[in-house]
Amino acid sequence: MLHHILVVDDDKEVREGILLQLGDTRYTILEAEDGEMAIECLNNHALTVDAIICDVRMPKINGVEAVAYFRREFPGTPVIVLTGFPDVDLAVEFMKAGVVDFLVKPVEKAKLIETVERAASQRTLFGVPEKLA
Amino acid sequence: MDRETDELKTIPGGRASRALLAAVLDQVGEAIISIGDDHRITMFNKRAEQLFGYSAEEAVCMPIGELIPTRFRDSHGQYVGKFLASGETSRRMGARVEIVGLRRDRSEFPAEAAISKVEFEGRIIATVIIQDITERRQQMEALRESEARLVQAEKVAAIGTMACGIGHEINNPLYAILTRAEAIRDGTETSQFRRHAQEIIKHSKHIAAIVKDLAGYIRPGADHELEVVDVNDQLREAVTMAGHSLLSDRIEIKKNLGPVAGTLAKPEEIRQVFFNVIRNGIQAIEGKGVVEIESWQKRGRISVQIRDTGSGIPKDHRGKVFDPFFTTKGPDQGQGLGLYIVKQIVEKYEGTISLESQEGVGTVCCLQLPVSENS
Repeated sequence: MLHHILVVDDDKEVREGILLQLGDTRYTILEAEDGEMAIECLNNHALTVDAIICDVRMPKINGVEAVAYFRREFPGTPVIVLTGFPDVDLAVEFMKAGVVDFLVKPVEKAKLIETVERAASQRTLFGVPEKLA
Repeated sequence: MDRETDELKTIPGGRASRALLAAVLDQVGEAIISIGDDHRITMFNKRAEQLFGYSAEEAVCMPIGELIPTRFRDSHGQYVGKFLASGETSRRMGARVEIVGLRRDRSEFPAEAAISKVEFEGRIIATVIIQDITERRQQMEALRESEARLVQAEKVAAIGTMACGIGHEINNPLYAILTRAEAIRDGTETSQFRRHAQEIIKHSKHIAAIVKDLAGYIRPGADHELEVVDVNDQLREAVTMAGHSLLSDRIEIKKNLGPVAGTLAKPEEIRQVFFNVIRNGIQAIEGKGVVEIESWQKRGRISVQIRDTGSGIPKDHRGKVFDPFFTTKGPDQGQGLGLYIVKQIVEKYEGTISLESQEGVGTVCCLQLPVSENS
């Protein structure tokens, strides 16, 4: 199944890296440079996005605020946090907030694909699993 | 009483006035010692008796040099002689000098001394006032230690900030490198390119692991999975790691690993301990040299000794080698966190670490870890 993945990261090199790792026909990638752009993108494509990969340290709206917004406004869209900070406390906080996984860069291709697949399988529409909706 | 008062009034310099003077001097909290121009003691008050352990009877006529350790006697004698010969009559309180006192039992104590002199009946009499400053020294020492601990805590806090910075600043470009290397590996049919790309991936992962570990060590709350670790296996792996990155033809590594049980720890942490110490040994060797690694077990403790024939640690650096950010190496050879991390890990597992070093000969690092009950 084709998945639409929203990648939120202010580092162009990182976004390109994610594109390289998910760069086969199974995925369509939407890109956002910061939390603000991500929210705008989600507002326009809420029904299309199957999973969000979100950085933590970003300008304007940071990852912590952005993830809180995604979980509140789009609870059916799974979120994966992908950050450069190997911080245990931060990971615990995000997991409590309901993210699918907390990954620390650099993550290997196989691991990212496995996590994205797992996240997309948890996608729900209006609180109902997608396959039943 | 009245009669005594009368005597004092009528016989100046008599027995009663001398007794009164002695009684007054005995009330003083500082040792007061008078000496004549021959440097012999003429008066010794009660506090001086308590401080030096001699009775006044014993002390009177004794050379004042007896109250000073032998190594300072000459310079002290010259100082007093110069003062007695000078036109100076007293030194200001601020001019008190620090000396070392010698008790009757030959023990020493730090003291502060002030000297003054009077001419009496044609004779010069110098009076030395001595205050024991042992307690003050101890308080100052405690204060210095507490300040040092504070500085240490600040340094550790700085590591936290630095680790976060490192995390972001290293991991992002590292991710860019890794993903490109994966793209090369997966996009080429040429086995040589695939192999090179795989090497880049492996080294990127190694750097990431170091950054992750560093962040883990500075967070005591971080949970680690413990298991019974084969110490010799970790030593071998640490040598292999060091061999990949640091060894050259001129450095030889000798291993003499005896039969040892396991220790309960996180394997990568034990490996990091050994790697850091071995790396230090290798870096200390300028020119040709040897790093010798030994392990053995005795009375429930696993011992590991890593000896290098490097330049050794200068004496004044030895107390600081486990401090965070202490380094004598160049910026390309680490941040001075290696041994700090080693000590943190070893002590977390109730182990010990010590270093013995001789300049120009080398350094021996002795590590001890407890044997796991489950091994």
